[in-house]
Amino acid sequence: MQAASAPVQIAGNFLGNLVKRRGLILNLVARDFKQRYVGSTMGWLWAFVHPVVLLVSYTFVFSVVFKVRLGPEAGTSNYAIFLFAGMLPWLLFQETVQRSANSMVDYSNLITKSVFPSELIPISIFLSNILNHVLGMLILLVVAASFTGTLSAMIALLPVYIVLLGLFTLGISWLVSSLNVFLRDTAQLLAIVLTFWFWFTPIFFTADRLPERLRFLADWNPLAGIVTAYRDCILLGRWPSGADLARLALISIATFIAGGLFFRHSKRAFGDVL
Amino acid sequence: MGAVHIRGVSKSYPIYDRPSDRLKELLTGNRRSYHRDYWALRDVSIEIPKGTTFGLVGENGSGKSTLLQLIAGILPPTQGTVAVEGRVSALLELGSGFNPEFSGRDNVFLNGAILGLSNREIERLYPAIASFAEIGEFINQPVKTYSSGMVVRLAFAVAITVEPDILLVDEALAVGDIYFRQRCMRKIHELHRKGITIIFVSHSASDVKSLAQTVAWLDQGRLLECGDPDDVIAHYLAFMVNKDSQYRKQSSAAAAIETGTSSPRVTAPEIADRIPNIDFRYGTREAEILGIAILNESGEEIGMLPQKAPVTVRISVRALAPVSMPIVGFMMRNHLGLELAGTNTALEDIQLPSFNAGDVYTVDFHLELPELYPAHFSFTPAISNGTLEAFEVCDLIENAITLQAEKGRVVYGYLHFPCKVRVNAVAKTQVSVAQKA
Repeated sequence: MQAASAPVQIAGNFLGNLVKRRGLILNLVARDFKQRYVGSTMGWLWAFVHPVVLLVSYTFVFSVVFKVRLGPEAGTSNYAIFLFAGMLPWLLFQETVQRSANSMVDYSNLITKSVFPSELIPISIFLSNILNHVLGMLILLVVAASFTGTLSAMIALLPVYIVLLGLFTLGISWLVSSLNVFLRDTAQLLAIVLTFWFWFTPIFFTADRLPERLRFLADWNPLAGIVTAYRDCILLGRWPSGADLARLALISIATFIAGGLFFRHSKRAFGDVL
Repeated sequence: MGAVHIRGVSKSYPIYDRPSDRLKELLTGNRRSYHRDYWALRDVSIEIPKGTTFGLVGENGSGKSTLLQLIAGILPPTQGTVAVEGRVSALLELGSGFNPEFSGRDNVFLNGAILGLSNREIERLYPAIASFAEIGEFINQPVKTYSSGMVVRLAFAVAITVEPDILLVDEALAVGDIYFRQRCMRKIHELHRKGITIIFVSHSASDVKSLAQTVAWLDQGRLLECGDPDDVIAHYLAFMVNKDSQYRKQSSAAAAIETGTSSPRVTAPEIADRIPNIDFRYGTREAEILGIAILNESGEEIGMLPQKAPVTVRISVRALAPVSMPIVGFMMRNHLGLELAGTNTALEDIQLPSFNAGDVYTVDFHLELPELYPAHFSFTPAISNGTLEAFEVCDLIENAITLQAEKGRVVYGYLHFPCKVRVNAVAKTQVSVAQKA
């Protein structure tokens, strides 16, 4: 507590804790992953089914019914693949944030009855969602490769973006999860914010379709940067813009630190409120 | 490792009218106050050396559980410092820290991980945990299918097997059956021998006396006394009884009817006007129970049931409507809920007068107690209207008062009958031995 003025020490403590508590994190991730499929016969295979269903549905609606054709700037003429590449990072973000919002309340008996490092809960939710994300990614890569015949080496850059997305997502998750402890309306409000956020992010469209005066929506929205970068890497096979990457990294790291500090500050009162 | 230093610790809970006030205060950095303070602990200082078994006693709401939570590091103190040396394993509430959807095994691993054990360490300790919990195949079933006794067995098994330096136990022992309690007691003695510091809360004076080397008595968040268990417990019980009698008001409107005499007569103006506990209450409420008290020969309220001594069960009632044929009585149960004995005015051939609305009566039952197993015994008072064969319950309070029986000599079963033993030998010399039980 006294070390609040030493950022290096805070960061060191946090990282040290991550390493020390890796057993607990793994346990929470396994628990979270299992909890979703607990009691079902197919188990984790459901994690594979969901993205396939999504992709098939998109293909039906946009490629069969609407016959949407895309320009060369999209990287693929298949709208379903284009859309799927944008949906994957968004879903990772949305699910983590949404489930984190209620997580402190869900884990309240652990938080109030044992010495529990509650900051690990959003981390474990993110890691558990990553497993789904990677499955979806594999499907996307296979489909995209079979559709275009090649696979760009640029996909090696994806982990960088996943890490940045993770930092941003965790920052937001810490913020909403601690706010929700004090104000249960947070989770409700979050659902509305996320709806807007989804439609203002270039997922159904490319960022350059935005009118010039609304372009800032894509510039300052880390999700827009991530979605665009995913498409650049997977569909277009080109280097994402370095300036965009720098801005994305800056916002993500800033959000991560701000969310973490807010959580750290408000965490002390969790035991009293929950 | 294992010592606990509590220095000048106070804990206040801010009381907020709205949850959002709390957030406002957090965000404004406590510049403006949006709350009132409730002090759960005030300036408590306790030194607990390594290896001590330390008991905490006090009324409900005296701050015992808060103190355990502070030691466990779940809550931060408002003032003062709590310094704990070593790993703390806390058994704070029944089944807390268990996810009901998951199997006992999964929960063991999660709990171990929370306590900072690696998977390999838990893997190593798991057989010991499973064997101490003795829940058999249930260990692979979801915890929601467990009985409360099974939950506490598993929780206790985890808490003691993870090799803590300090073990905190909050009234968890009260849940298990006698067999399990005895094993827990043995285990606590064993942990004590291993040099583990044990801090526990109990309402059972005999548990505290038999386990603890030092006892602290908390009252309204303050440390009243800390020291030798016999002294502290004696003062604590005396205080509780004294406090209880302060509740009693003198009322000239009360009439006391003594059982055991042929004609009801008015004796003491005293009424019992306190109901220490209500587990469940029902009845028509044509009359209500005002209070119940257990008194000794001199008419003082007692905190423990004596062995082989006369006690008085005093029940005061008030009629809220006319009651033509009132019967007042009680049932005595042991800690497992087994009905041991009971009686009422009709069974003792006492005909109470008809009550008019507003009448207050006190009935004293003078009992000669047998020797009892040193467990908790509860009394359930009732007032009915009618006869032994056909009656309507006006008011009945399940387990209105609970007392611990004093420790006497060994009792087989729940009680010892007054007994005379005579041995006859049909040989050359005739020997007769009369032994008073």
